[in-house]
Amino acid sequence: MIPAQRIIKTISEHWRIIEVLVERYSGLSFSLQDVQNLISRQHPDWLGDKVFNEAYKLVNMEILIPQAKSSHLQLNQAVLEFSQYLLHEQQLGLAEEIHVLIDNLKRLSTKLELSINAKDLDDTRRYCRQMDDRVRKIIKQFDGNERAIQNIVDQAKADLTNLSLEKRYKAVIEAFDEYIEPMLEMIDINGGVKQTFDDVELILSNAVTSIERTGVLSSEKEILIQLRSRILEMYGISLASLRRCADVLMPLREELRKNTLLTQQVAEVLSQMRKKGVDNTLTEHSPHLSSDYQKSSLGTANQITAYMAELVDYQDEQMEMPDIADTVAQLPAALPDFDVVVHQTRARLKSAKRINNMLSWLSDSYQEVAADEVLYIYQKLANSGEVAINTSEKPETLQLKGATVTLYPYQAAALDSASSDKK
Amino acid sequence: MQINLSELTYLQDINKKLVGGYHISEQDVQLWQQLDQYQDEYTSLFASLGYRLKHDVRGFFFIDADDSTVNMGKISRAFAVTVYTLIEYFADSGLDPLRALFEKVVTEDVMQNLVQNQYHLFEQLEITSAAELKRDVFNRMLRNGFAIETISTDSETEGQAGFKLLAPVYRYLDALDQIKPQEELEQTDDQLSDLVDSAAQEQNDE
Repeated sequence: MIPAQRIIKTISEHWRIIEVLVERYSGLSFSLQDVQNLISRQHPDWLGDKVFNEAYKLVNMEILIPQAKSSHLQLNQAVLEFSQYLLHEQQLGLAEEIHVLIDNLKRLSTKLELSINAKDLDDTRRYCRQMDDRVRKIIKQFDGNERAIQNIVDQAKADLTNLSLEKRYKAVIEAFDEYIEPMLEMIDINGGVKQTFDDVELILSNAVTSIERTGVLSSEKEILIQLRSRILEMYGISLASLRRCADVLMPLREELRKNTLLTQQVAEVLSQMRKKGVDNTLTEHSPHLSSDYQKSSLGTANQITAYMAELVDYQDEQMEMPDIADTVAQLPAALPDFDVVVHQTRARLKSAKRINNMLSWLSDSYQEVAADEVLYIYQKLANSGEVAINTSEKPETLQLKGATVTLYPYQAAALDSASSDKK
Repeated sequence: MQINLSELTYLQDINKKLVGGYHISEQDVQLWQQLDQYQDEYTSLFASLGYRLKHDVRGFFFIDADDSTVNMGKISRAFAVTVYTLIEYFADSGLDPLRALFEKVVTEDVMQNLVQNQYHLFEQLEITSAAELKRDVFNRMLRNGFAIETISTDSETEGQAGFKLLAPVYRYLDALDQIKPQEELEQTDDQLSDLVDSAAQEQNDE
């Protein structure tokens, strides 16, 4: 048993080699010498025995497997499938594979129904897991087949040789007849598959309802709901995938498509974009529309003229900066600290019991302070709840610093001892 | 070279458009005529500003830039994908792709079809619907002089609004030659190095 991490590490070390092996041989056999040649091309500075050791390591890790009764090697099927998936080089599967999986899904759903009715937790769980596995496999098949068809089409389109149309499209027509048509027949709204999906969905829905009603097997409810939505989604995915496949195959099959040098080039580039990404393919080669330099330079003649005009009129001006020593230091307004005000008010109330006009008292106490600030403190004190406040019955007119105020002044008294204790 | 600026009556317009990445083709009659008439003057004027004014014989003027701003690079790639998928679309419809590319009006239906059939590609450009394709690609093509807005006169789609591509799109067709599949490059690597070796050999011999 080889530790998985070591296999993955080896694959990652030699990924370029595996990539080439998949592209070039994709499932066919090759010799150890071929592998060594690839490695030494990849690493021209490696010596012969190191190259041999690395090649042999791939065999040891069972990434490459010797063929029966031959000295030739082939890629481990699991590695091959995974690499094909990564490289978007999948091979077209069989319509029957999907059919079998869907049939199996149907059988499992019947078993699931029985186990739910029998309230068998273990069986329910097991069937759920198996059905989930089938759904994943079906989606994977559709995904892989779509990519594979795209590849077949791209190849047919990009082929530069002067083959007859019949020859050029042979693979395409086979793909259409052997995969798309049976699949379409199967997936068709009136076909059996739709019926199967509906049945499975009904079973799952019933199961969910009965769990909700009885509370038995409630731990499985989440899984059942998930399974149901996956199956619904799967149907949508399969329809969309098949439609796309049919759309790309149709023009070739009907021999509608015009082939010119241009379309061959385009098909090749599109195929590369599909496999390696748009940015990777185009970044270096797409035409440049506007550069950073153009963006940052002055745009219009107007701008340039305006800029030049400014330069022509430019005159330097003498300006004397003020000396720090000459300026009178601006002192901040002597705004008394509010806590101090409260403290003094309380002290005053202790000796005088009450203040009949709080505003006049404040303005007398803080004669330095400007009128608006006195008013601010007056209001803040009245709202603070630190002293008991009453409004005077009759209006009074007061002379503050630079302002005359007429108001019903607040009268202040000390808070009750009880309420101040509460605070 | 003596340039009489008073003759270059559209200098301001032309400069603004070209520097902004716009391609002036025969559609812009006045600008085109002026550029055509005073091509040398404009070329040297732009050269002294640090720009290469290019005249393509297929009927358009543009400023040849060495690199793209990040944003314009992205836009250019979206243009490329759109042009190439359009060629595919026309070829698959049984039309001569090159003729159709410049003659057919790209209506909303066509855009829908492009996005649907090449979903994997447009998805990479963050375009997932015909409306987005119109907004992100075709409207920008207008702004860069790659397309004009027009009404279709084809019998099937008569009266529908759409876009018609202009000659500057040839830049993207030329770019096809530059994009060689990677595999091919690898295979030619060895031959190339052989060539270089033999060339060096010859030089030594001389």
